Amino acid sequence: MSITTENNEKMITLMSSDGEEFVVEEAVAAQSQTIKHLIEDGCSTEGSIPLPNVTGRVLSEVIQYCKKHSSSDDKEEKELEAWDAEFVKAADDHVALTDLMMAANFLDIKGLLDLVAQTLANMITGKSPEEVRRMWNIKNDFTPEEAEKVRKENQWAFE
Amino acid sequence: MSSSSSSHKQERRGESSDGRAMKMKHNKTRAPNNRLLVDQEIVKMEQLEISTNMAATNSSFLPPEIVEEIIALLPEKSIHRFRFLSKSWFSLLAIKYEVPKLLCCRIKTGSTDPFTVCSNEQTLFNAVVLPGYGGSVKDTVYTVPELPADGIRSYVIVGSCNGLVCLRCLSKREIFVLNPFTGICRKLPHMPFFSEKWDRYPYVYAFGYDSASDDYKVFLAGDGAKVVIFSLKTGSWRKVENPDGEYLQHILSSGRRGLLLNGALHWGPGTSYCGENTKIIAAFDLEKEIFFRVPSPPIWISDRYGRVPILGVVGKYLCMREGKKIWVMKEYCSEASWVHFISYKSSRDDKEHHLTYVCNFLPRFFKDGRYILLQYGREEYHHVLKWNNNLEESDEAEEYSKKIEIYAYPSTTAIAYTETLTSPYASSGCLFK
Repeated sequence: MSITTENNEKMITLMSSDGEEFVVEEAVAAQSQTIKHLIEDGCSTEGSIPLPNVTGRVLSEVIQYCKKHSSSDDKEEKELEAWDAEFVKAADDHVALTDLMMAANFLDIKGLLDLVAQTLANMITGKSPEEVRRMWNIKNDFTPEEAEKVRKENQWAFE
Repeated sequence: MSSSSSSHKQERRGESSDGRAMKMKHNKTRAPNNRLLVDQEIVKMEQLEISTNMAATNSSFLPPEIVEEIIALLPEKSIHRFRFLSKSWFSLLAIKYEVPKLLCCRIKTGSTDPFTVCSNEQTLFNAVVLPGYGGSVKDTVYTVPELPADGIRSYVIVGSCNGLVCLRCLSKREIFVLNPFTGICRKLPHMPFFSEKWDRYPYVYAFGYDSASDDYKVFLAGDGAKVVIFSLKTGSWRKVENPDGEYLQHILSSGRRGLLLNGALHWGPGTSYCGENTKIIAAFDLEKEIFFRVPSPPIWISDRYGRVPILGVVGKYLCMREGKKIWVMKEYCSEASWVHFISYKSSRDDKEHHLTYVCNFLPRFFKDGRYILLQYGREEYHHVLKWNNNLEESDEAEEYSKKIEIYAYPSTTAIAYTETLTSPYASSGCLFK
């Protein structure tokens, strides 16, 4: 669905997996390579663009990021960095960040993907394997003997 | 974030997001005029998925490519710690960010063959982590209880690939494939095709991986003009029908182990270097099981001591040492792509070093360069050359020479080796036995 605002800016509608609709400027949405390609291929003319694996909550965060990054130019780099830091801080925990990262991956927004990946990497750097397993429901499928063996031979990584 | 979702649901969702991500990737590589169709397909499929899985808030399941993005930003120590999260993480890290090691074997005292190792106790291998790949040079001792250790036996390394090492016992014609890291060792069954006294005549062994059949193969040529292959997958020996006699003659005269690259085994010139006919690199395609010829470097002379060029593998390239120069074939099977790569120099340069073997470790993740392993047969020393440039970036051999650092290891025989969970009993699955 293309609507034009008084600024002559083309608007498009994005629909989240839970049916929430977001009307954004095309330039904002086009920060996502995935959406950009869909627009170029004419998918947006028939209605809203469905984003079936991004929830409304996550999509609103993504749009927030895209808005900020489409309106800022290079001169404001420092300010943008500070904004990014606040942005991921607001995402609060690893679950929200993981959701955001998966959305960034699906929507192909490189800046956001890198930002969240770095935040998650920082988050787990000092953690024990057990803590990381709990974060992402990773099942430890090593037998006790196997675990002991690999641990013994790689002791330095645990020190 | 709903915590009520069952593990079944998470798995289901995991599969779908994984599959979708792959599709997206695939889509990007297509020509633009195909994209519309593909995208619409994706949208359709996703709508279907959504209708069956409406509650989809994103779960805490991590698709591999997300894991990779995060891993790429972790410090090295954390990477090693997180290898042990689960087997799938281990495999992901083993494949993507392998830790290169020198696998050093003990040599039989007085032996002149640098690839002969002996075992009069159960410990056969010491693995050395290279500097920069674990903070410091570090030894790990691997024990292999399954290897016969009654008295002194000599073993020869046939080859190594994806964490598996193929060894043969000199005195008993026994062949073993083992994973030193997991300690799992497989003794191959008796090979039935050769005549009784075949090992009194020239023969060569090799070990390699055929990605087409996802199978590891032990290659043995000898007994006149026979070639036999053992497949780890089928667990049996098989004869190769009508092998090309000319190539066979060449590899038998070389007497060396075949070198694995691009799913083929390679042999350089024979030790009896006697003119045009021997100036070839013979190769054996592990998928099609046929011989073929790989072009050799344009300048090919034996050095002033009459030594023949030595074939090696540096990363994904064939290389050839000629005197103190190393040539590299930048494009596989292209004669014109042979370039002079480095001239080897060291403080010990006044002595005549004997480079018998060149290989490298293929690190792709760590930032501080790559390594080549050079073995000096006479001195029972291994030198690891490290350089900081990618071969792709520049043709200038000078550059490489300047940046080379040398590490020496007082070991007896060594191969490049990577820790994996690959089992010698099954070619895929990457699990302990």
